[in-house]
Amino acid sequence: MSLLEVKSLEVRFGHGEKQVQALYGVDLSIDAGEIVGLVGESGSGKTVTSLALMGLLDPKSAEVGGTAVLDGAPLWDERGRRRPRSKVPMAMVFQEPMTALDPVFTVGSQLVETLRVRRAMGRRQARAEALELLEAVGISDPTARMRAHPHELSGGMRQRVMIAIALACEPKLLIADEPTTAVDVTIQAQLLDLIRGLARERGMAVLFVTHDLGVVAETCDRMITMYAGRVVERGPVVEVLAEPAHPYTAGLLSALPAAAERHARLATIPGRVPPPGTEITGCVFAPRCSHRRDVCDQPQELLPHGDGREVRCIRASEIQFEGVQV
Amino acid sequence: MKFFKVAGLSLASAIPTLLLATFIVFFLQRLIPGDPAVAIAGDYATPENLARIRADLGLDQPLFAQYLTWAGNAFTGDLGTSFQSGESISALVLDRLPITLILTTMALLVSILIGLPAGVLAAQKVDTSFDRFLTTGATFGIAIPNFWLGMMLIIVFSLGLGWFPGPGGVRFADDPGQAMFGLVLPALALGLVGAAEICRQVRSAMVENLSTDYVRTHRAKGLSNRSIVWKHALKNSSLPFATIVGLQVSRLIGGAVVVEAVFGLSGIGSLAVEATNQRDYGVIQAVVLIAAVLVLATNVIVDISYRLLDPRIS
Amino acid sequence: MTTSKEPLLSLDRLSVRYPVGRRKTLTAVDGVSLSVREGETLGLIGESGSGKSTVARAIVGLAPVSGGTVRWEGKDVSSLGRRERRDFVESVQMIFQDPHSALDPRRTILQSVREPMDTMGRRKKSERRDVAVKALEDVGLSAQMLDRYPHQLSGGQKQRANIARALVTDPRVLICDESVAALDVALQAEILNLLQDLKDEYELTVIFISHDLSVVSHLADRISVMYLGRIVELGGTEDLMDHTLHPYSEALLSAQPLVDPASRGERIILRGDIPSPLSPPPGCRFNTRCPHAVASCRESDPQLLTITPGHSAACLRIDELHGLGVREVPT
Repeated sequence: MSLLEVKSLEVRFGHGEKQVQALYGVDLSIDAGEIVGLVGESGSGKTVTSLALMGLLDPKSAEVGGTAVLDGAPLWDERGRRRPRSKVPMAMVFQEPMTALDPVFTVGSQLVETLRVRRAMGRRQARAEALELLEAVGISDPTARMRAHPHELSGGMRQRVMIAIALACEPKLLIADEPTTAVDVTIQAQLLDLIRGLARERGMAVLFVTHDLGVVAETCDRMITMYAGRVVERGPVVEVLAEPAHPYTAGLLSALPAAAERHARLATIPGRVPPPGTEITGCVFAPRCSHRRDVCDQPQELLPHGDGREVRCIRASEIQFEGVQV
Repeated sequence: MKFFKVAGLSLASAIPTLLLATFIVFFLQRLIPGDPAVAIAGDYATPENLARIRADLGLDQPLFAQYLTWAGNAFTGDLGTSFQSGESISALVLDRLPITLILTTMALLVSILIGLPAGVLAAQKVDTSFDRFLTTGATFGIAIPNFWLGMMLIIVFSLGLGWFPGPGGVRFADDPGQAMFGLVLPALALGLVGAAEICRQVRSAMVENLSTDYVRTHRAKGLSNRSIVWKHALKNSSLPFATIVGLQVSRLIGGAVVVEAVFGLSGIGSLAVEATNQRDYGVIQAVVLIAAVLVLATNVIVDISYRLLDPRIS
Repeated sequence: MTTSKEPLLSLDRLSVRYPVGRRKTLTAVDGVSLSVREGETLGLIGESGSGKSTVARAIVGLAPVSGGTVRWEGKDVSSLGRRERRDFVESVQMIFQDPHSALDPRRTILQSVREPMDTMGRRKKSERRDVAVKALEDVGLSAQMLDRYPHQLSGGQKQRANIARALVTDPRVLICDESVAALDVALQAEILNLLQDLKDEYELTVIFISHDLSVVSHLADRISVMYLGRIVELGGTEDLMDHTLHPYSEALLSAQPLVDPASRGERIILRGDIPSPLSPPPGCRFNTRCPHAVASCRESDPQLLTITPGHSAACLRIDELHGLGVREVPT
């Protein structure tokens, strides 16, 4: 049994006539210590997936279906009642380091507060632990940083604090939603290094949500490509990137400027992601796919594709896509 | 240490405003038509008589010299003597000030104690019927003039139900308890509008804060809703709260004039009304000066609280 | 591709300083010299605080020039006559990062695209519509889009509209400031293709500013790497990518996440944060993070020197690090 086991996760927004489905039967499994990349463009459903798992979707407008079991315990019961977040060994790091920390409380108080809630620590013990966490995420002079307010820190530093707060929850699963998208490249390299190191040292699993295939290649063990609220491909990163099986993964890869000859035209994916709520019976990617045949009009299943890989494309075995040599 | 530095800075920045206020108070005053010497000596006084009165009062001096004398004396606490009664203005004001201060403080408490929780609750239940009920109520509250509210309160609670004493309160020196009790209705009349105003501002600030990324972070890390709302979102809403409370104080000081009249309280507001009727320059100046100092002091306090509440303001 | 005649646009020791508070000054751009040749695509790359966007803004007059000069066809733009000034303004157009906020929400796409002609009083009124429609066609927006409002367009379409607006004054230089940073990969590819097409069709000179090395190196003929308000390395794209000279450029290249990480040698991960431009370190700006810094790097300020023809770098230890002889004097 994996650390996280998600079965047919569905999310719908709104009510009645205007209800719109955002996720369609997403299955996920993550092992302890594993880093899994969740990839896709905006509107693919990758962020909705992570927010649904964290229980951060507004219950007034979002309806979550399916099951999710973390470390043997379900995240919600059949009636949709969630286990209190403070009892679930899961934490999240967000994209925007500028706004994700409380501006009027010190770094120290935000950390100490987390430790007191999550680990029932006393004030003094929590302070000592907070210092250790700041040290663990590579913040120099943690004693001084404890007293700092978020606006006094750089973007990279704030993201480290975010990670420290997440670690304070002793997560077995860390969900990182585009954690390096808003920081500079040299700082991104530092943060990716940190996240990889922490996962290894602590045996922590990471669900790494990103739009950047480069980041996935540098950081993740396995990857999952999402499109229009569905998983379309998954497998070990090295193999998927070397030989993508779904035309969408292949399209994302070939659109990267780094993969192309200098000044050459870049490959594009014609058309747009279908807006949420579009009823599609056949392959969701078919309208934009250059390999479309009549068989693509049937509903598509996620089918095994070689060792440890799955793809939602009936023609996957007939088509060869160019990947990158890794 | 930070507090003293911040307080010093705020105080220092209030000094020019205070000087300007005394300036305006003094000179605007002289623009009011009518001659105090005539008011004192009566319409049939001889020119010599008038000249003597003017000399006594210093009215024959150049305006600017009059200002300097007045401001200098005011600084030492000597606000001069009333043209009308010949009493010391300082004593007159000191006699009337407590009741006004207690009234406005009580009114402010009414505003905050009702407005703040109402705003927070409305924000938590945003777009429910509870929220709509409160917001509509607040809109009405803001529109109600306080003299009308005062009269309604008198009619219902003191004339009708007889729960509170009628207009014309008890002097504070005689029976403090009874005097405070008598101020409950006036404080409600004066403070409810502020409560409505505070409720609206707090609600919108809280709604905004509750949808921010950092609140999502707090939820993600497992903080209880109570802690998120009453500790984090509320502290983040404290700037608009301090602003609106500051504005309410200035408004309360103005509103006190009307409410004191409605309830027959002899506070500083009614003193101002009497003095204006009698062209008692010195008294008017003193009242306006005190009001200006109170408003300025409020601004200084609001300013200090800004700097203490939000670490981003340096 | 490039000729060695008078550069179209050149910066001579350009500095941009902003007063911050009462005593401090923020030096966003610190003595940058650069020339842009007609027809080339020049890439400006750097991280936060590098001053890359400020350089662009100073060129088009959106940032104050505190020192040095901007020259247009050899003439100082601060002393241009009215006609020349107008010509310069029309000739140098800029496209910004955020496609959403760059369009007026209350104007139709056609109105927004026409606007530069209306404000500059360019062309006859009757012709303006046709020019705008042609520009919109060139960026791939059909006639049905003309009367739509920005909120009815997708992000990619909005960015296309912004590009069309920049084209209606027949510019010679197009400055793209992080113009694809907010777009998904597939869209980014479309816009990059479009920019290359337009460059040929309109015979444009392009200054392409980005933090993304893969994007810049795809488009640019030459690349200028900036760090804390200075140019630290400048060279032909291939030259710079294959024979990187400056330790910062090296680290930047190495930090770029690649889909084939194995193709790169060992990853250099820089220590520490980018210093604040409010208090840049003395000596070489990069010394606080440079893996090769020695005592002298903290004292003397390296000049941008030509190392090999067309390739210059500002590093005191360039000789030791690369075993090269500095052949020429400051550029």
